[in-house]
Amino acid sequence: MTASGAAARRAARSGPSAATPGFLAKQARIFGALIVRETYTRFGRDNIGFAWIIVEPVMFTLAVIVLWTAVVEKQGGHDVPIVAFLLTGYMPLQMFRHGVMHLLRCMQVNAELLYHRDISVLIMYLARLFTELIGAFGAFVITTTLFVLWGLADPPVDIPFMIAGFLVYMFFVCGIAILIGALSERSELVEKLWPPIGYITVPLSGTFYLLHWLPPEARDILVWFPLVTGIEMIRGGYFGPDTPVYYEWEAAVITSMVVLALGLFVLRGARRHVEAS
Amino acid sequence: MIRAIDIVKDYPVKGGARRVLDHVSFEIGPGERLGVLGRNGAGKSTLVRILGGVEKPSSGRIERDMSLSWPLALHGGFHGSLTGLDNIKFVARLYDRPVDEVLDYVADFSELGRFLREPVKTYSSGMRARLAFGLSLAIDFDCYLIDEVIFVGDQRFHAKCRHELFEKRADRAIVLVTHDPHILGAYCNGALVLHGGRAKLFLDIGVALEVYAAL
Repeated sequence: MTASGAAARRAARSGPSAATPGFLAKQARIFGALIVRETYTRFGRDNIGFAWIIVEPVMFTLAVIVLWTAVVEKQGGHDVPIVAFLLTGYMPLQMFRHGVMHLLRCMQVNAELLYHRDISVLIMYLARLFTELIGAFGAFVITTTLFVLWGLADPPVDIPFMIAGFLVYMFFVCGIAILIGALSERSELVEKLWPPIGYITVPLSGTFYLLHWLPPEARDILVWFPLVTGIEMIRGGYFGPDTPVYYEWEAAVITSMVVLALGLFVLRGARRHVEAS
Repeated sequence: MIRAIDIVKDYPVKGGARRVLDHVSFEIGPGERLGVLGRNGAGKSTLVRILGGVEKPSSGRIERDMSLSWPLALHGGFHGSLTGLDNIKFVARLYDRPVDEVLDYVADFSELGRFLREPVKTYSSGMRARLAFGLSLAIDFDCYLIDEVIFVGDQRFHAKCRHELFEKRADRAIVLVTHDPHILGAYCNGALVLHGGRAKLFLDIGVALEVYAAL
């Protein structure tokens, strides 16, 4: 190897460290490599895993429809299309639950990745979140399409508004998942505590109600929860203007930004807490 | 050049901290081969992991202006439930190398054949070593971080590693953690002896081995 060859190798490899285009291109490359890897580990090479995240909500929704038609409707149920109501509640809830769950101790679990020093903990987190959220959103689209084709649901009315709702919802999921994940790297207690906390927060996620059904006092409080606002927007977009929804998206975005900033702050020191084996 | 500047590493233990590395400084230039000697628990692996950026030092810093491999050891760097092939593709993408070329090289070097389609967690130590070694050679670093435990396996694999790394790539720098006086004498032109958190650099391997034996 000649000296110029060695210099070329160096130039090709030691990336710039500031926020230059070269740095961003490198991060994008690492992110892409991680996404492919995440897709294999999360969903498997045979795609059974991805099929499952569609089969699961389809089965859940069908089961609830049976219950609903057998019990609830006879007692005079609410005037809302049940299938679409369940899909717009259950799929975002899965984003929230899986998003946080899969970031618990994400760095410790993937310690072998830290052997490749260009992989930062943040980009590990982002790659996993991205895979999880895009997977769940894809499952929502496919599942909804299936139910529409089967004639069990009407297609969404205002798709851009629905997607805006998803973005608001997912932004908060990103913030809370990074915060809880970063805390779990420091303390195993967080990992143990999350499942019960996750269940307790389900009522605060807006999954099983429209704010319109609730007394105004409850509505005025719950609307400030980012997940509730997100779901209301998703449903407002899906059902169209005939269904009254309540949302405070600016507050949701600001809350999410604060949570995300906290999460990034806690995550910054996380790498010191790993002892890679 | 790779520079370790005033590295300190403390690990939390019951009732305080244990200092594994205590103000360690040294540097490695292109083509230099440094053996790292030390008793069990002297901080050899910790030092290599800090050099490689796997762990952060408690204080001090590492400057790297040549490309540096990940620490080649029996563990780390691979995802157990992914196949050898998927791991190779991932690492090739990560280090921005043409995936096909890397695959061909590693398949040829490692002689793993159909095992490349099996999850890495099913591999024996020797198979892991062949995969790790082949892959790092395919990526082609300026400096290699190697834990001698990776020299498991048969004589033929040893000979192949020696040929590929020490002869064909004689211009590459190497940091080699070892207990083996023979490897040290044959391939290293300097030795770092770790003891009590301190590091001492010897350019005479014979002297280094005497000091190490006297610890």
